[in-house]
Amino acid sequence: MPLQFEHGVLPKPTADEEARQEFVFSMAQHSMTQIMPGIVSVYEKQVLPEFKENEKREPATRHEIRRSMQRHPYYQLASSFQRSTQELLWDSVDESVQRQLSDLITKAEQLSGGETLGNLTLDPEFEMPRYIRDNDHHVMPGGYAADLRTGDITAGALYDRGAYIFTDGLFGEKMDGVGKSAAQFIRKYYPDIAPQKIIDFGSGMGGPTCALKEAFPEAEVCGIDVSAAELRYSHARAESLGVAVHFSQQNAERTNFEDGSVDVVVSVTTFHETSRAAVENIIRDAYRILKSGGALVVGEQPPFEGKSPFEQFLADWDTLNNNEPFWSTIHEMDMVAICSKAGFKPEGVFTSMEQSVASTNAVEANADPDDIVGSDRGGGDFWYFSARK
Amino acid sequence: MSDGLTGGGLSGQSEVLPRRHARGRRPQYFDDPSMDQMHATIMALTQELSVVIDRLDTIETVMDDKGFVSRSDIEEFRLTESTQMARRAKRSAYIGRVFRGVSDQREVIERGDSRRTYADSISEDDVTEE
Repeated sequence: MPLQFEHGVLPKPTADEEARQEFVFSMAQHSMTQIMPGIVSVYEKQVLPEFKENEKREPATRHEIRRSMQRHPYYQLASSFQRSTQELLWDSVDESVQRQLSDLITKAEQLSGGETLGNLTLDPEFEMPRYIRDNDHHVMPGGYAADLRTGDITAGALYDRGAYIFTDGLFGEKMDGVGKSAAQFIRKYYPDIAPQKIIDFGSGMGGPTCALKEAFPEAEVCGIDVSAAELRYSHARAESLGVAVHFSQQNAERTNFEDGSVDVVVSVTTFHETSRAAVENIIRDAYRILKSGGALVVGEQPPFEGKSPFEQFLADWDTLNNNEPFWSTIHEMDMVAICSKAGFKPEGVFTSMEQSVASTNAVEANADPDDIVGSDRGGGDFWYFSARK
Repeated sequence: MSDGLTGGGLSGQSEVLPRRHARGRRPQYFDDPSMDQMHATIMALTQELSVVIDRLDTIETVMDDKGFVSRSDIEEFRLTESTQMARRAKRSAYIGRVFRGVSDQREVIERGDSRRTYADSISEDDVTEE
């Protein structure tokens, strides 16, 4: 993997911290390619035949499969490997971030102070939505909501470094692959849109948002997020990379952008961290702020529809094991119907699987996502739904 | 050492930071919850030994190069892509050795081995089944 690009606020590990992080990479690789694939055999050779013997039928749902699999010692062990590896991942990054937190905050404040390319607007009165406030997604300590001390950037630094290790750099040395993918999507499906204003809903640590600005340099690009720590980090990060993005603390369910003022609303890998009601609100607000002819572009995990119950069971691991309470539900939601309900014309709503930047990189890195069971490490194809106003 | 940057070795880390844990109930995987603790502990120990192996590799590399090594040499040693790939290959084999019991179990399941196949391996064709 290429070593991560050292932008101005990237946490730098000591020798031992780096060794712990490298172990997490190797352990995750071993777990996904050597241990987890065994659960397919467990199912086919033991759990399924036993189920059919007892019930005189095939399992009907992923939930039935899960209940049977959870009793199998191999599945118990494989899941314990996955969970422990995920915990070691955050442990190995958090020890490094906490050790240098004061330095990182100082650097972020320097990069975000004075004359800057983009603005950073935080809202001291901001009310954190419950789905972010009450859950530490993907077992990341503190989740997105934690604000550990004045000027905290922990959530952004944790995600930037942790996701880079977890995906083995598949999103690129600047962690901007999903943003590049979204930009390609816009060019491919909306060649007639020359965006003047793009909003990234749930901009997180800001890598993808920067890619949007770099792909559409003429456009004003804004990233909104609920997490102050992510926003401080993403702004300092973008400034250090010389990319002009405006970041502000807003809830995507009700933003402060004017009606009909935006050409493209982008959101990548964000919706699954929200809730059913929030998804409907976010799509409704996107419709409100889009210009006539503007587009909503959302990159997410592919839905369960069309997958066998066993494939669904595999893809659903995160719901119960990785602090992703909305994961299962969002995979069953009908986004086309929700977009239509929000006002988008049904004929302008579509879904599409796109080869992601990450999956191209994965093949080059000789780690075909098809060989991996339990998680595609972000290397699989990327599912989009999109709607035009 | 109090700059907090030396990190490793026996004398490096000056400040022990409290571990932060994600909120939420941790799933219980094994029938006996103490097995969950045991497995997490084994994973952490495997990680710590891996850290020592990497550190030893750095020491040997610097020694080959300079004939002696200081703590700051170890901290200043930068991972290159080729060093990283070499260490990963070695580490992959190391992890495979530590957890060989798991891969054995996977093979047994995939081959469908059982006490019956074991007994059958020496049985004559005309031996009656139990």
